[in-house]
Amino acid sequence: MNKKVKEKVLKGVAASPGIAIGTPFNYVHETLNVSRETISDHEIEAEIIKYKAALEKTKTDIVEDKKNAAKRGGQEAAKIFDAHLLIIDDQVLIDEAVYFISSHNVQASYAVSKIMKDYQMAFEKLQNQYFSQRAFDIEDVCRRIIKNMSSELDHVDLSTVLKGKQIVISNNIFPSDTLNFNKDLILGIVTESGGSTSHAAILSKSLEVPAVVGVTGITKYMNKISLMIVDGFTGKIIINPKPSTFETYKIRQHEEQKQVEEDLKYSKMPSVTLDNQAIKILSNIQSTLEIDSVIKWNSDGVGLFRTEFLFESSLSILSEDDQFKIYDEVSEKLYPRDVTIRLLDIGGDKLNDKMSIKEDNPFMGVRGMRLLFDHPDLLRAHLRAILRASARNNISIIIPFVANLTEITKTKMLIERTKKELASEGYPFNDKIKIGIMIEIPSIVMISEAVAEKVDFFSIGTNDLTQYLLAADRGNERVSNIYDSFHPAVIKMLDITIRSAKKKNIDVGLCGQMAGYPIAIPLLIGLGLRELSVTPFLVPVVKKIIRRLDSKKCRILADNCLKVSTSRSVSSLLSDFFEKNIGENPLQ
Amino acid sequence: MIVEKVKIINSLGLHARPAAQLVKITTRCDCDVFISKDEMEVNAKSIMGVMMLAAEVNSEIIIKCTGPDENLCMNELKELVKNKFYEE
Repeated sequence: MNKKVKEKVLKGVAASPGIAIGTPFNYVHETLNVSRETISDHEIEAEIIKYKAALEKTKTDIVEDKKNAAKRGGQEAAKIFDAHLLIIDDQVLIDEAVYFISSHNVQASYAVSKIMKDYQMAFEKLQNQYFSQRAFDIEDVCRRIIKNMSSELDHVDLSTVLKGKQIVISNNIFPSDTLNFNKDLILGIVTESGGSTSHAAILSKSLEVPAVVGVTGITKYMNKISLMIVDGFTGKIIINPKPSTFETYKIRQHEEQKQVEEDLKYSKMPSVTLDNQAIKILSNIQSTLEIDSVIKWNSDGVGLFRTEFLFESSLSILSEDDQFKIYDEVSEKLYPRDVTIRLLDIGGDKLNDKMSIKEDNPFMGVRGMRLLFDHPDLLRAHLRAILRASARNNISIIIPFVANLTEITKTKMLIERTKKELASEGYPFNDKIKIGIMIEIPSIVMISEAVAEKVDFFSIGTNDLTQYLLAADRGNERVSNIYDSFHPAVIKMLDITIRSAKKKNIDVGLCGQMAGYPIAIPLLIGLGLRELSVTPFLVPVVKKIIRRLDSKKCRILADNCLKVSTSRSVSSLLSDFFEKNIGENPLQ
Repeated sequence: MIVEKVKIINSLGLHARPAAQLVKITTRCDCDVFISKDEMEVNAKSIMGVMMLAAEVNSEIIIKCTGPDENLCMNELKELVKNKFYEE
């Protein structure tokens, strides 16, 4: 270790939950600096043969990686390699390299690295983020080709260089690194670049190791770290922690492990209240990588499958068949559990470069169904893929972000039309597929009784409902004191929605963050909810609370909450109830 | 040589998959194909080249075909773009 630095906290994006404490390992991708060597005219042909052989070898390697990724992480992880196969087959790229070798008398590895750098630079300059990110893919493919031609560029084999289990720090992680990473070898992953949809984020989630990505500056500290903490819950990295910080995290890590063991015990017990009310605890997921967690934590199914992540993490827009494979995989692996798929809800906080339209107020602009109606072809492929995957009868559809009845009837009409189309083409599907809506815009709550006659279920999204009801952007720190899901108005909205659903005899569930707040659970049960959908690892936590509740007492609590007029009063009613009936807050 | 201007109408533009579709046609045809957008001109037989155009929805591209298959190639390309690359 060089100079020691005092404790320092760096912030990144939390990519995979958990706490890792350990020493860092610097996973460096050698900079591609292939030196230029002159070859004689009669060597040219041999060099070209060597280059073409390397292309073939690389192609086989990528196909192999694709297969392994599919086995390990499901269809989406494998898709990353599809684009790489397209790049390696680029005839112009191949010809350019051959031409460069023969006209400049250089060795093949130099030709490839030169061409790669030119393309990389050209792509990095592009304004559109989707296209500029392709520079990263070109680099990965070219590195593999060069590696297959020379010993100049050797990949680090993690299993031989790590000193015991370590935290891997890297500038970025390439898809081709995937197979090098193994849960038994590494404690956690930290990357300098990348966001929540980067390859590093997807990889760490599939490995179930704590990870924080996009930590600006982490690689600069590399030589100065003797010990570090990765907090995959909050996205914090603590370098050289003080003894007191170290202790705090050691305890948290220990508690987390104990919690995991206890949670596993709980997950096997039935989800019922003390007075025998069965409560369904479903999971919110956004990728096929989370299917195993749903099963592991014994969740009753998927209450919310967010499809936007699929589109954001994919290298290219998913075709109908690509989507079908993903939905079919979820349906099959989770059968007979129910899987509720929410139609693509892009907009506001999840603006996607591929489809973004500049708007002054995106949260109130074209998002959810509004965006899909504007892209009929995209919507059609989306609906066809979901319906085609519905043949096992365990899939239902949620329509996101609706403000009026017209949007609902229009979507239902399009679904009917898609069914006719599929029937005429001979595809099997569930003709009685259930269609529900997200309750997240206050207007729909006010007419929920009429709406309940048109749909099969309601799914309440408390995050957006709170934001739209209180006119406070949940991402804006300056109004974070106003954004408050315990505002009595939010609770009245829940009450109205649940009453409408019961009156018209349709199902109603809640999939917002509120379902994962321990102290809010008694209130939700009291209001009459019997279906909660949370992040998979929270399933046992919710179950533990439910098993200690009496639904009649919860009803009284809910009635009291509906009488008060400040969120502070609601919070104190909830805390008191929790202390008396549950005891310690399991998340503290 | 024939030259035509076409407008990209699929909502996501010339991303990886449409680019691959386009290249499939150009590499099969016996003619040179170049596509330009704004100041940039690329060889339409290269997927990397085509993607480098970063052609988004509503952008206009100019297709230039030269060679025995030029008419056939141009027609197929226009058909592909008009049909939104058969993917939406």
